[in-house]
Amino acid sequence: MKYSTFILILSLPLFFSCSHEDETPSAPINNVISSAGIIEDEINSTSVIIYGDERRDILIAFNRRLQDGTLLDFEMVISKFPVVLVDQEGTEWDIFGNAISGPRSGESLIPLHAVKGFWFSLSSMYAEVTLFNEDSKSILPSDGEDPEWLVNPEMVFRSTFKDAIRSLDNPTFQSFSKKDLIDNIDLSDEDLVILNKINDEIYIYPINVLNWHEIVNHTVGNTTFTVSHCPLTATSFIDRVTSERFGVSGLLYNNNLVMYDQETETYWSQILNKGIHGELMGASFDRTNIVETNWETAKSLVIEDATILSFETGFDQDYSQYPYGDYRENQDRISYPLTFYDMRLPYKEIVLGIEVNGSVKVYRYEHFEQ
Amino acid sequence: MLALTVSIHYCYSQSCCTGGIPFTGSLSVNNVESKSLQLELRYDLNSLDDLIQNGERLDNNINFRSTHTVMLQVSYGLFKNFTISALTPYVWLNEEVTAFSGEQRYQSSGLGDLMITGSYSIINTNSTNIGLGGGIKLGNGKTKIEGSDGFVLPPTLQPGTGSTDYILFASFNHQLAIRKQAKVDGSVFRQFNTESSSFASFSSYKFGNSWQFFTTYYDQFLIGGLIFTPSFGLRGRVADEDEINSNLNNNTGGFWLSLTPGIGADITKKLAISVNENIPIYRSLNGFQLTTTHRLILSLRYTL
Repeated sequence: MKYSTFILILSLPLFFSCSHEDETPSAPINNVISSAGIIEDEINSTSVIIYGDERRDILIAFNRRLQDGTLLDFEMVISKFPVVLVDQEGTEWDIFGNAISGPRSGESLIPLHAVKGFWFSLSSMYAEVTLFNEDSKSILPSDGEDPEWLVNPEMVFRSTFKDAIRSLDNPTFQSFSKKDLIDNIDLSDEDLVILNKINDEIYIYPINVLNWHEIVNHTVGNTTFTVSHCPLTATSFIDRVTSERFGVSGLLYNNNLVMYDQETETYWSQILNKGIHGELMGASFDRTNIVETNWETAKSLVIEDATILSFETGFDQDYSQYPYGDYRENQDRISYPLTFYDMRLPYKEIVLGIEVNGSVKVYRYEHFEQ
Repeated sequence: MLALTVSIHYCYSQSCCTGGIPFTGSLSVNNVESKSLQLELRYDLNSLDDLIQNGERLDNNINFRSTHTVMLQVSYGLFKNFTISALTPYVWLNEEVTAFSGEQRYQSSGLGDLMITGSYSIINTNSTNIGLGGGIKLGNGKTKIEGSDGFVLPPTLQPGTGSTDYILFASFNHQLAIRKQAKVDGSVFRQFNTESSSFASFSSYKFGNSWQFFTTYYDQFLIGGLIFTPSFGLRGRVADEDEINSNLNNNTGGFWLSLTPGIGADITKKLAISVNENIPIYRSLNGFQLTTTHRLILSLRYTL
């Protein structure tokens, strides 16, 4: 995107309640809390806090330990969404991991490598996957050893050609008032969106658009973000990157998006957050906090204006159509072979997996029910 | 604003177009006289530039595909009214993607699937012929061609299907009483496909079963000592959705209707040539599909 456009975007008066502690939006689903909850847990000696809210399609996780070494204990905040946590010191934290009020106002929680997506995408990707509150672990067969690959290349498949699924490289954003947002955006309440909070501004990326493009290369100021979504694993990430452009390689690893960077042509596994083949093999992205939620929730966060990825992308698909038919609902529909088929959960159940030093613990929405 | 369209992971729609030969669209089911041998060499160009979503053609597609197929069909009149036939194709597949860095071209070629048919004329008079037949398509064609990077190419660049499929057909032709030089013919094909465990990178892939029908009007004119046979017809095809691991691939299957103008000429008593074009006039396709923009078939037939 051109810098002038970004300056324009940055100058837009966009306000979300999360950046205004004295404003509480009237979210229509604020009173429904039965599906929301928090879990404090330990994964490989790392203390984590997870917030789950099925009604809002939110599963997020943070490190409980701050940069200064303080270990926070949290309670859930019920009626001040997007503030969802309060710690023992009285600091209130929002869904982006930002301290909104209290003694640590302005600080941020440290993000974890958390993967929200289909169960099969986690259970096939990692060597050791444990379910929360259960002892059973899956141990994957070891990958074949190929010095040029970080993963077993025999499990990498070409579904289409490089760039045949075209990333959005010069994304256009539109600013809407709250009323116009509801009238003009062709999304239903249950459609998912990704929220990217940059400084105090929140950018909204509809999954309906990402289902078709999978990558948005979005530059804000001097920072380039790669916003990626794999429709086959239902996983979304936002990474701060150094290459100006990432593209869709047309390869899938365990049915998950494999990206390439324009500069070195290295292949990158979206879920693993690793270069898996090429010059930058083994390198990782600087992964940022991501909030994926439904449109109903996103709208409720808007106080005045919102900045949303435009549907006028230069491509003329009908973005309201999901391109893969019953893929999301059909539990048995997995197109390319997986490294491991773990039947402990339905393959397409949406879960959150938190990876710490190669071990993954998985949390289901039902774990948060109160 | 320039409008473009992108592909997706399962935008194949190749069951009649690529990923195996377009055999029922090119198969000749004419009755051959007893003890006569007929050789037919055909070239089939299938150009797929139309990207369809919800029944509408999207503009400025970035993905183009073409298949070039050379087919040899050998038919022999085994008994009176009974003809056996074998058709073998060789396929060149091309895909172009207008990528970020410019136009990328991908190609592959190889033997397609062999088809063997038998047909019997239940009515065979001077003016009318009605036949019934059936056949089998073997899964011998190449299905795991790799690209330069070592990965098996996507389904759209595989010449074979890897499946053994079955076909039933009925055909008729009738010389018009009011104009002896004019003829109408028609045929209906029903194809039953089976699962392939060796198609591209899939554990299991099954092309959707299909119906096809053809009806054509032919006339004849004598020009410069040669008999020319212009023709005009309709071709229709209805296909079920393909299946990946027994689950429907929603971006396949549908209904296609094409006009089929053509012209033929009898060069000698034994040698005939013809050219036919397929022009889509109606499509009702499932999901999101790259499909035929036009198709050209050149045919050279020699009867011994």
